[in-house]
Amino acid sequence: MRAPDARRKVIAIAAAAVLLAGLWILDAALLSIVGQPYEFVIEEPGALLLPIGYLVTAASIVTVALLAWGSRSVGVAGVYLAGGAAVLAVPALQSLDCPVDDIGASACVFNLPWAVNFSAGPSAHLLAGALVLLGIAMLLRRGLLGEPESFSADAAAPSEAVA
Amino acid sequence: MSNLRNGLIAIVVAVLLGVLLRWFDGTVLVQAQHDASQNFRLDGAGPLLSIGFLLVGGSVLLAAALGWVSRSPVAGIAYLVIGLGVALVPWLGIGLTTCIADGTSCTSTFPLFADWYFTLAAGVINAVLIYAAGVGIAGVAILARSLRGGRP
Repeated sequence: MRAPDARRKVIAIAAAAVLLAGLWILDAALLSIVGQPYEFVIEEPGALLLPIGYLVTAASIVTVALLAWGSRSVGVAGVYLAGGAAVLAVPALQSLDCPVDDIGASACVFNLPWAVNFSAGPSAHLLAGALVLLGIAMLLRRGLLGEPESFSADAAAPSEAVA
Repeated sequence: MSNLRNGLIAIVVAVLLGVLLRWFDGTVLVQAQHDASQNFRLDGAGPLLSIGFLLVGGSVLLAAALGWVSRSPVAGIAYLVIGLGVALVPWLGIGLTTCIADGTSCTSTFPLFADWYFTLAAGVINAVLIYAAGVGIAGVAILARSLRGGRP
């Protein structure tokens, strides 16, 4: 594996991790300013911050998609698939066999108190959903088209063959 | 002509995806949360929430990919105007207010957008608004490529 390919893969994985963490922090910050998502009484500056938050979330999804697609790596696809699925599993695990009594106490199979904060906003989970689908799409492309692990290395091969 | 046809197909699919997300977020997820609070059980709502996240992420990627491969400036313009327009609805409807002189009473400058906001945001995960933002960003990319003569 060549250095540029390795760097591209590391960048794709690191960018996804950084964006996930960033969106989680962004959600927490937005919620502290705007209020909970179900509260419709929103005033400035929340009304302007909300669209900015939507755009940042969407831009993160598009950025990760471009980086992942450009890396053409099975390893990146696997990391995206596993990481995205792990993040997406949090709400499901959190609510697994989890009766809640009328004062809000619960007795869940998986007691994940940190997950309540992690699930405060939807942005990080939306990126995780995109990561899962990107991972599947990349694996399908590899399987259906039979592309080599490193497309760019092959593209550079002819000149080296001459040399 | 082929680009235009592909662009129109991309626009129609993008709109249909938005309608699907509005239904899932505003009807299915809201009902699941309501049931969970009625039964004091969260079992059904959690997995549905994860499915909703997958749907939104997938819809953004699908709409962006369709628009990109269509190579249609029409799709780019439609994505940009509709996507960013819908994403800015909270600001247009709630953020821009007109107040009386003493500032004690304020009303929305664009009440129509306020109505739209309450309709579009009536879900659990803001699916439509985030999806629209993704479509708008895809529109910027499609238009940028068109202006560069089709080069990516």
